[in-house]
Amino acid sequence: MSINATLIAQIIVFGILVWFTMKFIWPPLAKAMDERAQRIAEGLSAAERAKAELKDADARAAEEIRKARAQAAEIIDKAQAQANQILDKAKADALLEAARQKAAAQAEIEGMIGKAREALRGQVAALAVQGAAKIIEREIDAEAHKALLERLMAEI
Amino acid sequence: MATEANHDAGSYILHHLTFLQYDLQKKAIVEGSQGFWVINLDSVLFSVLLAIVFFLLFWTAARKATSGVPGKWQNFIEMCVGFVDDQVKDAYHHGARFVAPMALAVFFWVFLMNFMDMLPVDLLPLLAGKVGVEHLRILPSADPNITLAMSLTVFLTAFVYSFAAKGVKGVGAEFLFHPFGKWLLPVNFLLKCVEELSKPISQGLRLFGNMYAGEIIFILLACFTLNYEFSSVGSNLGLLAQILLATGWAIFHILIITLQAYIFMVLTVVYMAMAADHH
Repeated sequence: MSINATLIAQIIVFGILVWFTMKFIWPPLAKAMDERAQRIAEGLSAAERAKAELKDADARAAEEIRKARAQAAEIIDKAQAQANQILDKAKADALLEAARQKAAAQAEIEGMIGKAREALRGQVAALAVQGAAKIIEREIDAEAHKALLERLMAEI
Repeated sequence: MATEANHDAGSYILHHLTFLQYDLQKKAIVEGSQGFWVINLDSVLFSVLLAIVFFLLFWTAARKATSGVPGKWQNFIEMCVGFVDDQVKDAYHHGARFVAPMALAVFFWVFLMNFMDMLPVDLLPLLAGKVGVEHLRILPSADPNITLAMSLTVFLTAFVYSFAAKGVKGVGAEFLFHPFGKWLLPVNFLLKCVEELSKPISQGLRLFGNMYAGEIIFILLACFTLNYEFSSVGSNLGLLAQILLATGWAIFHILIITLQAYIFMVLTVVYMAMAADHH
């Protein structure tokens, strides 16, 4: 159990082993571990970022959809209003046309009535003259009594 | 199990505690030499072998270490490195880059050396005997030369490092003016010297003592079957006792060898931290 030169030998061996460990073992392993830790950290933060981005994109998409819906509703409303307007105008036009045509028809009818009345009046006057002539057994000079006849016609 | 038939327990134990020694002055294998210029060949051989084992185990992983997905072996080695790194970061808060690799080498080298105690106590000495080697102690950490060499290296490294970290003034002040101020300067110096010297001695002897005691117990248990005879009832009872006790002790000893390696590493780190800490 005595101390001897083994001590010196072991000090040298220990020194060499520590030096080798410092030189060949620790640096590559520490580097690999640090790099992996960094990569994992980066991956995690990237995932976090992607999640946030996804959330953002979702919100944007929802906003877009909401806007599109609103726009569509607006367009439909407008179209409906326009259609109503067109319909109303068509109705008004039709009514107007109908009234116009009715008025024209009435005017024509009145014209025809007037004409028929004129014709009837003429014939009545002629009949009256013939009747009177037959009554007084002579022919009334149409020329001489023209004024009288016309007055008569106007009175009928 | 003991193999040397017709040995008494005393000579059996003594045989197991004798180093394979080489005298540097006589240039010959000697036995039980007390001189200084003698090398315990077995201790040095096994400690070098285990250093190589440690180096190869870690180097195979370090050589191909990738920051991508690690293989199983790299993963295991990284776990070991991470464990040591955590311990170092807990105790040592300065910048020196040799501390963590030193702690790694200390922990696994000491563990491997201690682990030699798990091998059957007679296995390797028996094989060595077959090739003409009379004595062989396979447990380097049960050799005080080995453990004190390591603790002294740690101590000297810490001592040199303290100068690098604190400068001559800082170290000088610690030696001369603490803890009692400048009026009790000699007392301060004496106390500090004792404190410093107790570090390597306690660190080295603690490991040595634990491993030596563990080895002795395995050897003593082996004495149960020293002169084993198949037909003898007593011999078979001894065999049973040895199997039960040695199994129990081996299981318990797994804890001790790990714990002692851990303590040795933590002390190494703590001494480096103390060398760098300013007071």
